[in-house]
Amino acid sequence: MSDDIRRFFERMADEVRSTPGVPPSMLRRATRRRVRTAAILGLVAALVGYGGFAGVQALTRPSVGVPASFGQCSWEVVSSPNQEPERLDNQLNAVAAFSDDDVWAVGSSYVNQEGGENFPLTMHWDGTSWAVVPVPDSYGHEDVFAVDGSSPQDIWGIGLGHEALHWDGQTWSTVPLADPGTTYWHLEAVSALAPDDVWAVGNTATGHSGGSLVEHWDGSSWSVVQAPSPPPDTLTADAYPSLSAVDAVSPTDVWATGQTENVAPVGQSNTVALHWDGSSWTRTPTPDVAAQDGDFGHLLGVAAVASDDVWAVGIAADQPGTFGGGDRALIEHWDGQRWIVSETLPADSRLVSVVGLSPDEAWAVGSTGHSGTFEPLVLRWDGTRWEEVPTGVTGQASLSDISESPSGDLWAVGLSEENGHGRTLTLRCAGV
Amino acid sequence: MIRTVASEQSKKRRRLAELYLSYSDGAVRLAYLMTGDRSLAEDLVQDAFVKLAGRFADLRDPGAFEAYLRKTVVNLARMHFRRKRVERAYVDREGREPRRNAVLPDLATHDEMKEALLSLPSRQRAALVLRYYEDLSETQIADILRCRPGTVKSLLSRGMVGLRAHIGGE
Repeated sequence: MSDDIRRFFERMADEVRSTPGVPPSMLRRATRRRVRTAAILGLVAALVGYGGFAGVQALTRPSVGVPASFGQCSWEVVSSPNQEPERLDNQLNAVAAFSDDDVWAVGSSYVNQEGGENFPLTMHWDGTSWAVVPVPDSYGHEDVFAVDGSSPQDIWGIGLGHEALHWDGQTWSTVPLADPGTTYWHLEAVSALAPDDVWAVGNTATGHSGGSLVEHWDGSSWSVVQAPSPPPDTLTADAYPSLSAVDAVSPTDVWATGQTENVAPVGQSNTVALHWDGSSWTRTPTPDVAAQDGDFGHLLGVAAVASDDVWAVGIAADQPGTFGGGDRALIEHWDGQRWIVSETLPADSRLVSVVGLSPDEAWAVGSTGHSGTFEPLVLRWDGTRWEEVPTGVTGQASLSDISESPSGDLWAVGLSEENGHGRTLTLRCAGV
Repeated sequence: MIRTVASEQSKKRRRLAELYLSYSDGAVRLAYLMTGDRSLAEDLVQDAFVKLAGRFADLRDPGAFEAYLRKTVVNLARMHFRRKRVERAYVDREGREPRRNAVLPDLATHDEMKEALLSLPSRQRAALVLRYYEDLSETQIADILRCRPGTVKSLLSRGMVGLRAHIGGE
């Protein structure tokens, strides 16, 4: 019998064809996850080897200095909880501030080891302290990547799962997203304009190629909306466009940004910006710093302040590694006519989120350094230039999102390292 | 100058691609034996690489990577069954599909074996596949299934009984 079953297994296994190459979708997903794992592994390494402060040095260039004071507010770390800190690492991916006593942060708690499980994490600030708020089991064991709401009683959470989270003011429930019918699909970002007007963006993949994914909530259900999936400028392998950020000026003026890339065997990526005019999504040309300094560009965050004032931030690099060595923070601006590069920072820096308050004030967050030396990075736009702002964070940490409350308080969230474990990090810049 | 800066991250990414090219075929076969579904097997293996990417992309010892990969694939397959109840769906689907090879007795037997295998509880199936396809020891299987070695023996014998019952005393 055991010989029979061996023969049977051999024959059954032969029914599987060889896979011809490395699926870009897999590398892409692996890279996303590495945002966290690289940070943590790096932080552990730094603890052991006592890493230096390459990030700060990297940013000392004339146009990006550290001002002695910056008037409107100063950043402070606010204590935040962690789910099962003995067993799980924790991190925050996104934040949405509705008022001084109503702020949401989302992320994940996870077993930081092989095959370790993920658990969604959402927490609420009531003006005094943060408290973890449970998510229904139907959401599954997935991160929450993004959060946004049209009001404190209408908040959406989006993650790798195929259900969205919705907060009605009392409790989280799950709402099915639209299935585009591809092997893989997920949404990374959400922007809520009204209870019946919410956008979410991400990507799809089948086999070895992918496409942009844009979904819209009309008040009763999510549906897929056609959006361009531009190939990279030089197509060396299957194209794999993906959208990472979305923000709206109005229901007829919405921006989504991301990248389009060839991953295998060795490729490049171009920045992508798509615009919704109320009836269709179209691509708007973006400059690729990659053309001068490297081959990889990705717009990870977007802030739509006005129809002629939109910021997009991300990375430009000569290597495909995101959140590793060699990335250079990239800031682009839309003036109503075209996108231009506003700023690029020296190597080993990256920006992942941006918020715009007025023509004279915008904030962008991310991190500097690489494995072993991650530090939070906060930049402020004062109407004429971007300047680095100190955060008061001591130790290894990185920031993943920033949001402003109507009162003027700013919140930034991310990941810090304590004793070799990832911990939630929340920072507040309170108006003076 | 910038181009001379070694990118640890991109090295990791390339290393992951190399690992994928080296180990994905074997892993997909393993996942296929666990699931009986080719595309699901490919998906699970990609999920396994994503899970392992940040943690082991720079691992120097290929044997260790293979072991972690195997463990992750088996556990993902079992998690999948727990979540999706695919076993039942598979049996239902196979029951509806015409057996194209039914005229050939040996292939019909193969299909029956497959159905019998996929009807087993996933822990029994995993034990059989790891023992008779991956040629792992009971201790190794116990490590992967997170149970005592004695339990592996019992899973194997119950799995064998289950297969025999399904294929009519072959």
